[in-house]
Amino acid sequence: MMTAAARQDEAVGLASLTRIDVLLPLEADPSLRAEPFIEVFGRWRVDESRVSRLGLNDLADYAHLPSGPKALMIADGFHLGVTWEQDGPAVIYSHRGPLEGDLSARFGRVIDTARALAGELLAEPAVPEAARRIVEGALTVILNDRERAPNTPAVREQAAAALAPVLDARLGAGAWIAGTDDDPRRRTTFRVSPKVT
Amino acid sequence: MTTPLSRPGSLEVLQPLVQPDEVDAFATTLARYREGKVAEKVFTEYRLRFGTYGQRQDGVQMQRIKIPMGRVTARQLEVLAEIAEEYADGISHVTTRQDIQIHFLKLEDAPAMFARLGDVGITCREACGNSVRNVTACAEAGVCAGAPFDVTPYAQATARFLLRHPDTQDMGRKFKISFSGCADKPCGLARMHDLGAVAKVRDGVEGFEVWVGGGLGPVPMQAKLLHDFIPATELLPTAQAITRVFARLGEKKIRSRARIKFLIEKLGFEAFARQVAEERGKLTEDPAWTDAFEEGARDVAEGPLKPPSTLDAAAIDAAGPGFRAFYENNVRSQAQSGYATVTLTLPLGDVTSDQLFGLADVCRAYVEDTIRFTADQNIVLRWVSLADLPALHADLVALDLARADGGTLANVTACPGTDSCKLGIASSRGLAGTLLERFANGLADLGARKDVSVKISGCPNACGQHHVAAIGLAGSSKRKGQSVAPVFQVFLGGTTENNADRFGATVAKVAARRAPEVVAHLTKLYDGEKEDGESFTGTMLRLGRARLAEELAPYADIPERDTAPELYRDNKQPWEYVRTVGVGECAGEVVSQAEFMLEDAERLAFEASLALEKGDAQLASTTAFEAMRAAADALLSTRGLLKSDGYDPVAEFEKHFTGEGAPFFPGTAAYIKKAAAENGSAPDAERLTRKLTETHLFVEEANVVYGKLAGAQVK
Repeated sequence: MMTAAARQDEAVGLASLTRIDVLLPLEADPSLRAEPFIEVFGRWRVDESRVSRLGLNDLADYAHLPSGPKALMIADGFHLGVTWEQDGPAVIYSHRGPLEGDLSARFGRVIDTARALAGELLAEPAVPEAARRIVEGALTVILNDRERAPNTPAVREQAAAALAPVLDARLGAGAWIAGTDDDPRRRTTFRVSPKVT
Repeated sequence: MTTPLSRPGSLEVLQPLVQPDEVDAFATTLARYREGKVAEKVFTEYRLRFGTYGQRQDGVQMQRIKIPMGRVTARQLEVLAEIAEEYADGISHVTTRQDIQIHFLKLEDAPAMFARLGDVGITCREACGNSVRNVTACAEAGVCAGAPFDVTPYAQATARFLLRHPDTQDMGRKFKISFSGCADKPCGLARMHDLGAVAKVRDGVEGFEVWVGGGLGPVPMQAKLLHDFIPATELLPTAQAITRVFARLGEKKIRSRARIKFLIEKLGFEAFARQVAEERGKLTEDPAWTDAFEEGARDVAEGPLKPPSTLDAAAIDAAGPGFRAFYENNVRSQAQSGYATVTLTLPLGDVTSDQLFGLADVCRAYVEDTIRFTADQNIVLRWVSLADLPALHADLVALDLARADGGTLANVTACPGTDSCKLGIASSRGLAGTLLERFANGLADLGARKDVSVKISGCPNACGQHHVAAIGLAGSSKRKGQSVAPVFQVFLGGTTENNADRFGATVAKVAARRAPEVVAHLTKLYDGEKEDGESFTGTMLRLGRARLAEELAPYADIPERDTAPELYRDNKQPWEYVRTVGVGECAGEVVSQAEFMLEDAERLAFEASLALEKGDAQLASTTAFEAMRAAADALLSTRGLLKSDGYDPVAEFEKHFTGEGAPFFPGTAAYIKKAAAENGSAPDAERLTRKLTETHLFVEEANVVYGKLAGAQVK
């Protein structure tokens, strides 16, 4: 078992990082309700073809909370849902399964999966029209593993270098900017938004 | 998993709270289990003893994190937040035993999580399984004006001493301990615990009143007074002696009979007390007793971060919006002048990781580490200097942690229920969430009431503590033809006052979707019927079961599914409760003989309760037996037996529905034989009350078994 000191020594374990979250902000008012998403997930959980294709398990209903993940679909390899952040509602994709390749490949796979599943979710008829669109060019990438990716300058630098080509390829080279949070208690996070020229 | 003893019962040296070797052992055992080298049932109990539960959903775990007395530090809040977002779904749930639970974990993540918790002094050891569970205590112990002394150090000593103690490793089931600072307030709940200790001072000596054998669950029992007073120095030896008797003589095979309350019933209280005295006599002085007290006192020492101050009326008026209501409902003066406790009410006991991180910062600014999770699923900050209250409130508003509903009806207690628990029958959280929505949308006056409380369990096991609420609701189901509807049993007459000295009794079984209307109806009934100064529970008891059942009858009626499909869905769940296994014949639904008989059994069970209420013990006793016999007949009818054959229902029931592999729960099945043996005689009051409880359980189980049989037949 890894001790606290050993964990610190092995802090830069980015190469084996598998837990990565992606938030895709919605063009929706914070007053958006979680219930339509609960309804969608309620159908997904008994849709045998979808259960089999995505490895779905069950939903988690936290609609009673004022913020945070209010509706989640729990799957074998990920959580997908809608979370209410400071800036408003966002689709959250939380990767929990294995990942292959270097860090860039991992970021790329998770971001692409997040966008694909978000598209599938937002296309559901029960989702209100106002919540169907993702804010163009905006996303948040969270390294959800403090042991492998503590929020230190070295980790942020290494992760940023791996993330940049991934974002260039998807959002356009030079079309985005990313901000980070320096609080060492929090997870290493990149908030990506369109570059205003 | 046990430590060899050099002398019987003597621990000699108090073990460290956190043991890293244990985490390594868990990782190894998990790996061996995955390789098929550890039997499933062995590994299951093993992981349970580390708080790792299976969930209703396959392949994921619930982790219970043991927090003795609910005491946490700001740093521990942060680590709880970290592990919830990394390993779970970002939500921490405060339980009715002052624990934290997180959900949807992968089993493989457990060792790393244990290590991180261990780094901040938290162990999950014995959070579940057949062990001494989290020791609970009043969240305001030590700062409450009503208590003669602070029970926290004693509770901590007990938790530390019994953790991993060899005497507690071979118990047939769990063992729950609670400490209360006083005899009358509703915080400690000592009398619904396996062991309840209530603070008392005699001749200037700190000590405890000791209660044993209480418990909720399907067969609730009030604890019995073992000692009117023991000095505090006798607390640990007495607790140890009790656990030794429980481990030695308690039931090990039939789980439904394995709690200590059943052992006391089997032995008789006097004989049980003698056993405890004998065990106590065998124990030699153990240095660990003293060590535990000394360490306990050191562990829990606390004080204010800020000097005492005052808050005058003008400052209250000048504070931000919402402060007055928060101040009136959520702030309580401490025994120490110039300080208050502040309760943060959590909807359904849930709090996000972002909130916990923010709260840790807030705590560092105002109180540092004097934080406790409460048995009503909230968080209490202690030692808040009065002048800080407006600023603290503003900071809590920014974290969405300033709900002003402390002590109100809106502060509903609910267990996880069908959201994640394998035992859940109905959605306790769905009902609680629906109630919160209604209170926020048009029923604010109802939600703001302080004279009524609601506690909800998803099944009869009572993790939501429904027996001790003004209105208790316990999940169940009701078959109607080939469809099953979620329902809640309504319990009235319970209380948390006086350490929960009275449990509610069931008066009706209502459609789950209509339970919010039931809450509104009962409060309206109380308003119309109460006499001067009468409590809600007092009014309900005075009105009596028959009247209450009549009042709730409209909510109990569940029409066929085609007529009222919404009643076949649970609260907050826009899908069918159970898929119908109907035959789909155009001739329509066929109601079997068994269903009629089961309905008859339910009716008889209720009539038996009424007879008891009217004081007719003989009638109550015989009717209870008739109810069980009707339920047995119902099941026997599925085996082709006809009542007109004149068979012996008890013998035939035993033959068809008991024994290895039989569908009927063995502990419950035994009730009919016991009732048959005593039929015709007039049992004493205590036995009769138990007999009626057993009758309800037997009938309930017959319904469950029939449901399974009916499903199997259709398939």
